[in-house]
Amino acid sequence: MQALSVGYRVKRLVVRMVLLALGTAFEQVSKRVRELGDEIARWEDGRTFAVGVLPDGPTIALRKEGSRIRYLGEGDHGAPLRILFKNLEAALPLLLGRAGSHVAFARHSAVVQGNVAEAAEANRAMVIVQQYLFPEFILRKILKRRPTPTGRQRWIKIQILAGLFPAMALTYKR
Amino acid sequence: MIPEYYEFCCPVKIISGKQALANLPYEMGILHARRALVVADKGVVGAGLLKRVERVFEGSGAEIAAVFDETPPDSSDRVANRVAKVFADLRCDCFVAVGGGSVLDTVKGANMVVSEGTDDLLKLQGAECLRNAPKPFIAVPTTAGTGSEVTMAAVIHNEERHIKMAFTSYHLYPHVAILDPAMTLTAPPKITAATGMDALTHAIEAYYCLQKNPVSDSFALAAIRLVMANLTTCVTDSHNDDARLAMANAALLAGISFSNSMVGVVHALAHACGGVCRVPHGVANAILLPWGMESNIAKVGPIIAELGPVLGADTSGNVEQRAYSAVGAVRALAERLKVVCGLPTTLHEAGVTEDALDAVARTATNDGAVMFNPEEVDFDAALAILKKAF
Repeated sequence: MQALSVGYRVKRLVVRMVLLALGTAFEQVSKRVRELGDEIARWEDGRTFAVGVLPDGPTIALRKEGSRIRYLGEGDHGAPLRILFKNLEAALPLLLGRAGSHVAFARHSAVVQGNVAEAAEANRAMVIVQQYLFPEFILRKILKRRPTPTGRQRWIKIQILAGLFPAMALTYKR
Repeated sequence: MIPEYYEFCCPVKIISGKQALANLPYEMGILHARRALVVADKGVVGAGLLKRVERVFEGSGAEIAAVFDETPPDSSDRVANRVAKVFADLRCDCFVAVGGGSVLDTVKGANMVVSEGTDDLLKLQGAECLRNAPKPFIAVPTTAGTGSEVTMAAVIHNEERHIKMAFTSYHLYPHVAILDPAMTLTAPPKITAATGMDALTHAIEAYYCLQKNPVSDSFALAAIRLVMANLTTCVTDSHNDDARLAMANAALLAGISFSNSMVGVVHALAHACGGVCRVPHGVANAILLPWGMESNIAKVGPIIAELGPVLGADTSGNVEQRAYSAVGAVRALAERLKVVCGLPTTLHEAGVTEDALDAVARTATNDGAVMFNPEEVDFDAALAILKKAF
């Protein structure tokens, strides 16, 4: 077994934490934001997808339950749709808000296992969640279309960000 | 400008020229194969092209184990599964695809099923996720358009859900592509025009979409030059084999280009028009290309303007004017083709009804190609383009 360097372990920990934040944010945003509700309204109940890193994680899984998205925890939970980054280096730009998902795909950073149309839908949902996670100066750089949030959307974003760390503490054990 | 990161791959051996088809059995030998499953469609058989293929096997030591000629105009998951079963049942060791994009994509689907050891193509959906090396695969295109003979993509109709599914993988490339003008001479003028516009769309979208890179750019520009110089000749003088060979090469070059830089909103909408309204892919691309280019001028106007000289457009004015001139040159070509062979220039002429536009737009937003389009393509943006093209 190859020994892993401290640097590699730190990167993996960072990716793991950011994925936890993403999963938790998915739950929070789907509770409060109508755009995400509209986006997932056409998804069949129980649709599950995973986001992670090859070859063996970290990975998280999410599932549509009713009108919301539920974070299932670490692992792919047998999701039929998996969006997997080829390695940690490939995952970091997207997860840390240094590049948009379109740039990640243009750079061949990720593979899709499963229905490509459903991957496009999951990606759109992820872009909506990103808009409630990252500050506007980052969103202006990583989104194709410059965001123009309303006052209400800004207020919801503040609420989501304020509650994110306590929520992560609760979802951490899943 | 060099992108921060790019990948480029084209592992296909290309054989181009008059009588190139004669090398087919030899190429099978190079691939250690001798029992071919030839996949075609009724049009290929009716045009006598299959007989040409059968003749080259004479005295070669290789044989045609079976011919599957029931490929429909839109390849489907069930047909691909059937082809895979024939291949396995008859212990074939090589696929030979003779036909247009539908035949080639059917073989790609069947090859996935055989190589991955499954019985259902739907289990293999995804992008860049196949693991096993494909069976020997030789492509003999009979239309000059899809470029499928050199691409890592297959578009296959899902019979149950009535959508076009995109598969991409480095394992989808054929091993050999044989371009022989004699195999494209029988394509009728309207199909020649539509498939040629498909090739032009590949090249143009490849040139301005997000995965573009210096290598794919060079292939795209070469393809556009060949299309502009030869497409109208192929349509008006169908037995001009020099023009036919040039167009076959144009489609191939465009295919190499877009396989490495992907396509954008035009293809997303064309796939959706095909899935929802059964509009032939080349026809939809021909109609939508100028509108799709225009919708991207705000984001990549300078890049579209670069295409002006190779499209034969007016190159005066500022960048935005030159970009619109490039679009105008594409529109002028489509109009010329409408005059000489009746190629539709609106979705209405292609049989699309206005009440279908919402469904087309909705389907298009879930197409993988929208990811690589420079402008954001949401439902409203897709619908706006469709309404203009209607």
